[in-house]
Amino acid sequence: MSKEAISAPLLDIKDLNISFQQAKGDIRVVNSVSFSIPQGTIFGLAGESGSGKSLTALSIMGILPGSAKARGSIRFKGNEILNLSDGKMRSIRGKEISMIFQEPMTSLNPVLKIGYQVKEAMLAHLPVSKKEAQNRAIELLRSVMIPSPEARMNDYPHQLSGGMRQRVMIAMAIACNPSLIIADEPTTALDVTIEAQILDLIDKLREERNLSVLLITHDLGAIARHAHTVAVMYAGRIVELAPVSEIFSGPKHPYTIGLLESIPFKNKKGVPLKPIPGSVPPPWALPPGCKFSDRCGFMIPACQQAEPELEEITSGHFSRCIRAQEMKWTL
Amino acid sequence: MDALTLPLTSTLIKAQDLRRYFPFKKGLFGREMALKAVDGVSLEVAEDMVLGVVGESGSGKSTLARMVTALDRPTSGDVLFRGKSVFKMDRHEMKQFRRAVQIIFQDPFASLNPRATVFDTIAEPLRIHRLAEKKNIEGKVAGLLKDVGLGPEILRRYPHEFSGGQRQRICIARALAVSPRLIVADEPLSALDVSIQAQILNILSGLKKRDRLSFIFISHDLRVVEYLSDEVAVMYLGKIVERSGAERLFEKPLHPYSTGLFASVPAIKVKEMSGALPEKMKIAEELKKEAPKGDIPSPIDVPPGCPFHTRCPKRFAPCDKVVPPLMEPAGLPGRLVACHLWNPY
Repeated sequence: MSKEAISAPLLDIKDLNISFQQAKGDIRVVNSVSFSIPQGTIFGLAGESGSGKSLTALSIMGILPGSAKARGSIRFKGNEILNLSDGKMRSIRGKEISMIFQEPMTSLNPVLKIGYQVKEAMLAHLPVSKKEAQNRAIELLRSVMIPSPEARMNDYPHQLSGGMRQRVMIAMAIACNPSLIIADEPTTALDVTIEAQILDLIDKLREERNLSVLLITHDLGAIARHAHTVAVMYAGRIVELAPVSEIFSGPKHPYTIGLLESIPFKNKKGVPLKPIPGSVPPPWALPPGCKFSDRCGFMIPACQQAEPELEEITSGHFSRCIRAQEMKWTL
Repeated sequence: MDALTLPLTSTLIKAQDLRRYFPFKKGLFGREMALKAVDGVSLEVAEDMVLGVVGESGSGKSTLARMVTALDRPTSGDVLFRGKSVFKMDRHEMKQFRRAVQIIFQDPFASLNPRATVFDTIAEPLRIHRLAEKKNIEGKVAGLLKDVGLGPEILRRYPHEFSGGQRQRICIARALAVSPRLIVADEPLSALDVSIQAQILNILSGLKKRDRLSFIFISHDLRVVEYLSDEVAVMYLGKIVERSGAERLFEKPLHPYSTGLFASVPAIKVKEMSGALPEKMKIAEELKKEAPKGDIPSPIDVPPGCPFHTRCPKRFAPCDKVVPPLMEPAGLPGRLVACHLWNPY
């Protein structure tokens, strides 16, 4: 195997565009998104609601809503998987790539036992007998640290707490030994102490199984603690992409800086925060040029003339801002 | 004499040993049991002070808020507003209390009447309390909107036309309309995006400074509570497990639950990096170890003794038998903690 093939990323997204078809014309909600996730790393996708994070995830899984159309390229293990036929996608989904959703109560079937739901994907994808699947399911529940897994196999979802349900979701996600897990706001519905447990568990499984994780969250703290690389999205675009250490030590896009300024830090007690003014405009009312320009404190006339490209500022650190070099913000 | 003209004391509101039990039956013929949502909570809020209340779901924060605002009656205990029990007030006194204490809820989508315009929503309390003459009312409403950063052009619009952040501003303007002394804010930011949260937070802290308002600020977001609060109460399964000045509490939490709760919040800080990129940020590992293990017990089935002992890394002999009282630990005046480690008696 050549060196390139070894270091080739597990997931490689190039120029992904997603639009919704409307009577008045298409509305583009994800715009030339490109990033890649190397094997065994956590890639954080951050941004506020409506920034296009979840649609990006759904397009990787091939489960976009019917009115949405995706263009571009998503390569998984070197093969194109965007707009693959349903049959072909089914052999990847749940087996090679699996997903953990935000709300574990609505993503588990309330009338089926935990054990059945954990076994289901294995029986569909793997050449295992029912007995083997049963034993493996118990092992999986054990590996996500559910106490007395044998007994829990016969429980229904409503008998478990939110944190335990999310553990079951994770057990289901890793059942077929996938190489990529997409976690879309996996802890938003959970309490802080439980959130820490779940994120630590995902991180531990990643390390043990050499998994790649796409972690979608609005919580920059979770990204700081767990991700290797982070992309910040705004209005359907990646505005900044960098190794996590870089983005928190020297963010190079005014939107990222605005997000960090919005978090109350210890040392700033009593000092007013500097939030981003206004709110995210709807996708049909974005300003010309840079899409953040109407809320940006660094805006100059050139910003609204043409949309800036996502450019590499320092090695591995990209920003979609023409004044990126001037950003000197530090924590 | 009404509640607002009573002599000014520094204590605005005082909760005394509040309990709220919700009775239920286990099974069809089961015995009567009680969900102890709030179980013996005492606190006071002085004028011009922000009391932060933190805790996870099921800790009783919202039930406490409902009792302090007299929206719900406690099973036992009392709430005193400027020295007078709110549950023994007559009609007139109650109206004054309702004016002095306002509440802001978590979900701005559910707490505005969808069929009332912004003007109607904010003008209603002004009319009920006769705080503006008819000809001045529009100007007054516009002024309130300005206080929360909204323009008068929205007066005739309806709630569905606004984003979550704008709706929460409207809720704040409505609460401010009656010039309250205390605002009870129950998770006012948790339905909002982070940049919008910061906008609302600035409005609240600006109002606190301008009007010398008191707040009971209920939140699970520790960063926000730390930023805004003068004093903080940490709740767990219906009880206050620790209470003290915000700065000292966050500097050095005493109760193992507080320690664990704070350790669960990921720090955003940069430490020394090593090796090739991408490299994960190094976080304070010693803190991570203290994050509580296991699940929060159900409030239906609160463990005996200290409610936290099932998850506590430091539990010892008495913890699963004796309920530790909330008291001042030796050598740490002004702080209160309910933990056997700190209360050797």
